[in-house]
Amino acid sequence: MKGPGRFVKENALTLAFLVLLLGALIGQSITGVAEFNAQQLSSGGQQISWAGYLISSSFAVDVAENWQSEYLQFTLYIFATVWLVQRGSSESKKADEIGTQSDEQQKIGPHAEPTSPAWAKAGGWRAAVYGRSLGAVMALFFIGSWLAQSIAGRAAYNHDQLTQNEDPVSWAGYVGSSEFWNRTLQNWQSEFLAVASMAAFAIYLRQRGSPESKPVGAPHDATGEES
Amino acid sequence: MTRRIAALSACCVVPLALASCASSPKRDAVTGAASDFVTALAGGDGGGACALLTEQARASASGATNTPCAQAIVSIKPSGRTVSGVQVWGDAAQVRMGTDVLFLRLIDGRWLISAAGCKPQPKGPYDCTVES
Repeated sequence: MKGPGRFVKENALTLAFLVLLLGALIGQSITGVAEFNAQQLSSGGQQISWAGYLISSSFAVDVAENWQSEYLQFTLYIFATVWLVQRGSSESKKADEIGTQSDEQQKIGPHAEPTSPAWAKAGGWRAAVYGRSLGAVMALFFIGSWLAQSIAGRAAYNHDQLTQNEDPVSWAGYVGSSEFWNRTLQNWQSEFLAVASMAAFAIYLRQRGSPESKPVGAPHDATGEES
Repeated sequence: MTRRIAALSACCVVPLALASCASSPKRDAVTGAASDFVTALAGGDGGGACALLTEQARASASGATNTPCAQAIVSIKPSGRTVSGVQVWGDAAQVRMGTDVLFLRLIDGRWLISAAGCKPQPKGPYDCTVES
């Protein structure tokens, strides 16, 4: 297979989820503008267009609050699995591998292979930075999304405050409000549940053909790679 | 666990959020509408003041007794014309003028007064003589 067909096959997982993301965002925006306009009608405000809703703070906060919790989930998962293990889970490494491991195990500097990334071969500070790049980028995306949630959330909240003849709040006031933390924590709890469920279910349950699962015949107490 | 791939960065959201912030022309339009309303009230021009109210606020001014808006609205006595604060969030705004607080909505491209004669309460919304 050559050309676009090969590209699609080799990147199908990423592409499929990008398409799902786009579809879900379009669906969210269509249902969101309907809900927003219903609220506008009851508060005596104007109806807005779909395009107008796409650049509104109301849509932005709803998107950002979910993004930040997803990035938090992966950030915590990336860092937690360095130090915490789950015996029998395909999501965990073995108990004797806890920690950041040796340069030899991580194929850094003189232990690098010919196909290793340049910064892994370089060793020193480059390997130290590159060796933490996945968690760092996820953490940056989490912080950025959470900041965006606070900014857009304040704008949407203040609009609602004014339509109810109440005072708007400062950014600090909004970040300390129950509205901000309710939006935040209701997303976080579901992400933590999903990680805990996956780590535990992967001990006893199997999904044939999925790299997220142990082989169907692997024993329950086989952890990570040893399965 | 499925490794979800990030396609869009969070920084894309920030401009969306900022897009809803008030621009200067918007603030000027809001302040202008509030000033016109207070000027009409101060001059005893009830009809002029009522023309600057939202439909719901006009109905509120007439009240249960069906007093004409122009007659009822002049019971609100403005305390001054010095603007001490303007907040605009989307199609809703608040103007502090003297010791008065006015709320406005953007209706068909015009800023109209949605609540006037408002007094702060210990908790919850302002208590307004005229409101939507």
